[in-house]
Amino acid sequence: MKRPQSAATPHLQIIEPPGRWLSLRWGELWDQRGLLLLLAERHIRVRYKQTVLGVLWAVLQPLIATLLFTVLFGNLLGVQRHLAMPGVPYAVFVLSGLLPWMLFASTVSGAAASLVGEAQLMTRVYFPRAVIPLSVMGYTLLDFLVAAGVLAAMMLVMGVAPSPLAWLTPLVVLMILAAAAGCGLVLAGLTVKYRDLRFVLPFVMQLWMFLTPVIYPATVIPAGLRWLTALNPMSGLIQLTQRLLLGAPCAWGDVLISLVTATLLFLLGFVVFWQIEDSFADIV
Amino acid sequence: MAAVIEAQNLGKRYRLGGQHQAYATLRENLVRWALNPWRRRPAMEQAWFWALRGVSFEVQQGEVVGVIGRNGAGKSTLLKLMARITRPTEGRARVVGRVGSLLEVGTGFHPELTGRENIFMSGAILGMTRSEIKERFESIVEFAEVQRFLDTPVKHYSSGMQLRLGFAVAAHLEPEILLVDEVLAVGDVVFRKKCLGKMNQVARGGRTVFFVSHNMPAVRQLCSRALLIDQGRLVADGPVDQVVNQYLACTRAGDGKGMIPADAPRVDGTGQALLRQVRLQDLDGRRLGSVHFGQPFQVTALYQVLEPIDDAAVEVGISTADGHRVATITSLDAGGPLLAMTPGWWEVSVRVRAHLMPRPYRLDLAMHHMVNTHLTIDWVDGVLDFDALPVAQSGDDHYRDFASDKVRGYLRLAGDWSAPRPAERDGD
Repeated sequence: MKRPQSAATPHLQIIEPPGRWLSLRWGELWDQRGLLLLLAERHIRVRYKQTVLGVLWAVLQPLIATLLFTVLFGNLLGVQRHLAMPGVPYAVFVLSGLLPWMLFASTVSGAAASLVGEAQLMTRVYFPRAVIPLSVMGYTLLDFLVAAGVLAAMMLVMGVAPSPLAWLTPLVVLMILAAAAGCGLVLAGLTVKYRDLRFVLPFVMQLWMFLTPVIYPATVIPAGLRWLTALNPMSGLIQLTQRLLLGAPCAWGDVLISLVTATLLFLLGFVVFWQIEDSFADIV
Repeated sequence: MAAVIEAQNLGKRYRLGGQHQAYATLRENLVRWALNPWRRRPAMEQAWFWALRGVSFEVQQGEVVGVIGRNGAGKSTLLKLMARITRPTEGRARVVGRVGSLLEVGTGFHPELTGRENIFMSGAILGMTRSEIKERFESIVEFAEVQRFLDTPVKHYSSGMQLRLGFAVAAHLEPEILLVDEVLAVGDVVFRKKCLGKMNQVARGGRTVFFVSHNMPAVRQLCSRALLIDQGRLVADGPVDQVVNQYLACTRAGDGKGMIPADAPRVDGTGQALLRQVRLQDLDGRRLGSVHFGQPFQVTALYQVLEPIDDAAVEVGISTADGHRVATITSLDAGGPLLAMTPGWWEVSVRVRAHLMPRPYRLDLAMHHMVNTHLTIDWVDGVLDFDALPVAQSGDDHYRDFASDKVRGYLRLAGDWSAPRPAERDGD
């Protein structure tokens, strides 16, 4: 937040038309990190006050999905056979893929809807608009942590030992959040302009999930298409999660490409957002 | 003293058609693009209007500046530019100092959160740091008078409590430049007095205040200087009384047909009651647009009473179209009683027989406290336009020859004449 200004350096603002060129506003965003944290905190408080189920929902959602996919894909369709991971049940594999995916997907869709939801606020007071979509991570990250507890419990019960590299997973979580932030910022901006995007997004996210090796191992993808799927940042990041957590086989080339696309997505998200944020208050 | 705000040629252009057409649907755009990829948007969508244009002014440190003008004149746009909520289309402004904006009471409140949580939320959104809020927390709570409900979700607060809490947070913002938009238009009289008092205090503390309001009494009381904005242009800038008078002289409170919005520019008033409608009727209650010379008529005023009143008098003024008072009728004239009204909607009507010379006229209405404070409760000028016509063809023959458009003056008075009698030549 703003530091007290000394008399020698008065706080000077120039109000002028938006420039045509790229404007980077990292400094301003950093200055307002207190507001970002507070908004994130507000999301968490409201979420756990409003829903009676509260934490239970964060537990049930991944559990039910895991159960569904295990019965449907694991048993009926026999994806289990392709797993090539001795000692790892399909349920654990699916949950370890669903967790990072749900973190990504809920952050993206939460961020996309956030600006329109705070229209009132945006027309009444100025602050860096990016804090609104970014603050969504407050509850998506909390939900993720709760679900991670579920995964840990499941691994304990099923006797799956974590890989020795499991302690590195928080770094992957950071990368996932970065990719989700970039994607969410762009979609949030577009949703202000095109309201009907809200209705399309759930289908897009669903489709995206099935195109990402979440509930099936990446090894079932034909080798000729692997480089293409690796462009999807979540493809490599989920493989990396499963590699670090369970020691699952993973194509390092895919991971590298995904890390690059995730970083680009992150940067692109902010640049695009800053380019269009000045018009939000006029059209929201 | 140095200028803390220097605006040069500020302008803001919006797409015509209101904000609801500003966003398109993706589907529409895709379909349009698919049908005709090479054409730009249809011409209709490229109609723009300037909400504000060519506005230049300077504000010195510690000045309290009122911004007035009718609805849609561009006042709020100016404030939004200064608050950086929206960016100008052209021009430039230089602002020295931390800017706090209070464009609504309760910015950032969330109904599910408690009063305590909301103080921190709203404070942070308005630009206070956590430690600043902590420092002022006690004072905020005291001002809002919500001590007992601090841990109750705000959704269970009465609207009055929400208002008080919202204003309390904003009032403790203490920026170097404070922008305020119309927040005093809400709440009861006690609350508004408290807010005005607080704002006075802020202003006297050497801070610069920009105050947008329709409430002329409040503008006069708070501000030393006023900017008058009309159709996006700055048309007057000067001492507050001069600019407010200029505004009232060229503006009517209603539509001239007797409907008065709650936020119409009122000459004065405590706001305990608001005139909302005035009807000109004949004695059977039929609406009139004009009155014949000597024809009795009835003026009915509909008041929205917000707080109990027990010592009021209503005043109906008949003025020329350009605002010169010709005659006044009050509810006390014939030794009438003081009027008492409880909150709700009340009608007050008076039957009049005035011999108005044929000209266009207008009605002004006011209500005053007659005991104790003698404050004006509500005063609106030019609420209803009507014409006085020559005497009707039928009836009222007594005055037929009396009236014609060639006669001078506005009112014909009935007098008792004595017959001419011989007189001695006076004096010298």
